[in-house]
Amino acid sequence: MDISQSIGVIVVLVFIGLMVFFKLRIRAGVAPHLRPIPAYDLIRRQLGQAVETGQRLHLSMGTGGIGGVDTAVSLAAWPVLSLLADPTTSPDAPPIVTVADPTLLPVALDAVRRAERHSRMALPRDAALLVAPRPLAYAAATGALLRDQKPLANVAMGAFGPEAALLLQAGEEAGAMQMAGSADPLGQAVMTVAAGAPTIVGEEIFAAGAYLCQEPSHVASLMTQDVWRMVLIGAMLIGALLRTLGVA
Amino acid sequence: MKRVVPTALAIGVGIITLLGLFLDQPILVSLRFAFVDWATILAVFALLIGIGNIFSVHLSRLAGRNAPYSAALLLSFLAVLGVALYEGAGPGGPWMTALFQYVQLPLESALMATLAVFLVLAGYRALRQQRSVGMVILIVAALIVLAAALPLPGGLSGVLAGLKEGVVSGPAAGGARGLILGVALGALATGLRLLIGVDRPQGG
Repeated sequence: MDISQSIGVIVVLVFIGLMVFFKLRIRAGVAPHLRPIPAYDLIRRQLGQAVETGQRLHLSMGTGGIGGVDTAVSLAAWPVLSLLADPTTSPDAPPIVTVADPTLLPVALDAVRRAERHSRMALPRDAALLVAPRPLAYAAATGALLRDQKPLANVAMGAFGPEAALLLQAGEEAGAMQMAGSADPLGQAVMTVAAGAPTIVGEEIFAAGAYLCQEPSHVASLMTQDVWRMVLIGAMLIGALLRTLGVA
Repeated sequence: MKRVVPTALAIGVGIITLLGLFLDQPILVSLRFAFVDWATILAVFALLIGIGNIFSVHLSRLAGRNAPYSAALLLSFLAVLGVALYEGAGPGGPWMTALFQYVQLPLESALMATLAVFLVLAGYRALRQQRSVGMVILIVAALIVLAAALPLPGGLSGVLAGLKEGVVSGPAAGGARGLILGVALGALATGLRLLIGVDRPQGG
């Protein structure tokens, strides 16, 4: 095992250890205060309104897939998908879940089938849909779908680049409430301008489980990320200080 | 059983793959490569499910008001498939290359060109809807970067180029790096949650 592999093992073990520690503390009743993220409040409101009005909600899982570099980002929308499939939170109207990569389709289909089992009625075939594998084609075709279906809300979470502008413009034209988040800085910048609503910024995309489902494991992983962020900031400050002082 | 088996399989495969990355044991390394190969094969099956999904959705729409679009999609799909099978050279055959070069590429370029228009409109709309300091900074920075690309007279071009360089290499690069670091931590946390079975997108 070389030095980088050893560091990797230590990081993973400490990360898991901290997650377990924080989860045990949460179970013991030491619940942390999560700062408000307006975009997640918006999703919760959108879900509530979809339940009340019986209108459809569109969830776009982005242009990434499972198995590539975008795996974690592509699965960031999974807590939202779980809420759509949950009998206590899911709207009566069937959701529309669109993906660009076929490897995400089984995940979307599984959630839609769970929603179908809970609602005990057959959902339309377009409830989970592979639209197009290339980002621009996906955004343009999903935009056409939004203009046609006019959902109550358009939630875009996952791997998005500048093509997100096409999707969000269509959502705006369809009169949908919008909520968007991407891990890519370029996609993020485009979404901030085009969404017309608060967006999920950077790593907030991975906090959906903690904010929407209040899952102790998700909250614990969020607290672990915060600890590591502090460690990284500290390391960077020490590095900058040492460099300034001329230490090689 | 339906919940336990997929989760146990996912955790087992994940742990072995991770150990194969960290430990130089030949058996673990071989297993890691085998799992990655299996993932590639499974991705092909996912593609087949995707094709089935596209077909089933658009066939069901042939009776609706969007029938012409669905019919065009299905016919285009069958035509491209027919060309590929006739050529027998996969996606690299001359006809397939021509289809990509003269149909797909120009269409995507046209879409890309419209993005700029959409973004300008969205920027104007955003400035009206969200009058925050952050939004004003974002729009001003975008205008500086855009204006720096214009062939302006006199020393104005040089001033704008300097401003652009200051924006791009300073606050923009710093902000992007901060985002990327946070995203890396989030991705690590998501991966570990999958590994210990907290998140189960595999349906268990």
